[in-house]
Amino acid sequence: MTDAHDLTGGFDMTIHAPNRLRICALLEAVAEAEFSVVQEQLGVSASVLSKQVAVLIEAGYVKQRKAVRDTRQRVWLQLTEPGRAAYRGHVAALRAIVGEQH
Amino acid sequence: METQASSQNPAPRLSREEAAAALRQVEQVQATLHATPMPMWYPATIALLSAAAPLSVLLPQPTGAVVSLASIAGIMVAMRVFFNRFGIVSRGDRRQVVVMALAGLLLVGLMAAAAVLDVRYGQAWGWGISAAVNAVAMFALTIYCRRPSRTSA
Repeated sequence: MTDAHDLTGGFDMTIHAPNRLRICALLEAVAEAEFSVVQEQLGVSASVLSKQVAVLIEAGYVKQRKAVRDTRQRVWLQLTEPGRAAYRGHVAALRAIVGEQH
Repeated sequence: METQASSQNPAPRLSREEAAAALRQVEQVQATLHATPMPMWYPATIALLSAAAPLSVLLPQPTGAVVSLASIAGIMVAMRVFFNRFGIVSRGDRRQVVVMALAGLLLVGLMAAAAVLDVRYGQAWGWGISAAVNAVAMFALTIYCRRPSRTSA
């Protein structure tokens, strides 16, 4: 069984920022989501989302894909495998702090 | 620059309440995602197109083959249109994959049974049942599998 100290080792400062945690939580539940959908779901402005997504992309946690739909360019976001692993590790660390161990 | 290695903190100074609040945020985001209403035209279209496959056997050739191929192409187009309009591509979790595999076996089994009934006993009604079950199963599966995965909250 993994002890609480090992689990808190997955705590990730990049992910822990509130909006970034919410972005990762949303992207973890899907294969890919369009930027505007993420923005709508989280209720944040495009500039805030862009800024937070840029940090996650720089960390290698999120990747974006551009696609044209109805003559407009759309940006699709997805968690990378390291991003998914880091997010899960972070959630496990949070649970360990709270005292739940899964 | 923050990197994966440098951003990990082995000893976070976070209270239990702060960690619980962060977990609540995660659950709230995923609950909101699950509660998002989704258009019903998508499962209905997939169901109708799926029903066409068994029924196409009853049509003369090559019309039957054309209808069968057109239904497969139609399903692919419907999926693409749905994902583009809805803005979310679902990620199949393990449970969804198992359900899909079992449903696939059931549908193939029903089509095989219909083929045996038709070829050996000259009874074509099996194709109708296969088509109906295909449509109902695909409608239910599409609704089930389009839900975003919820394995982490």
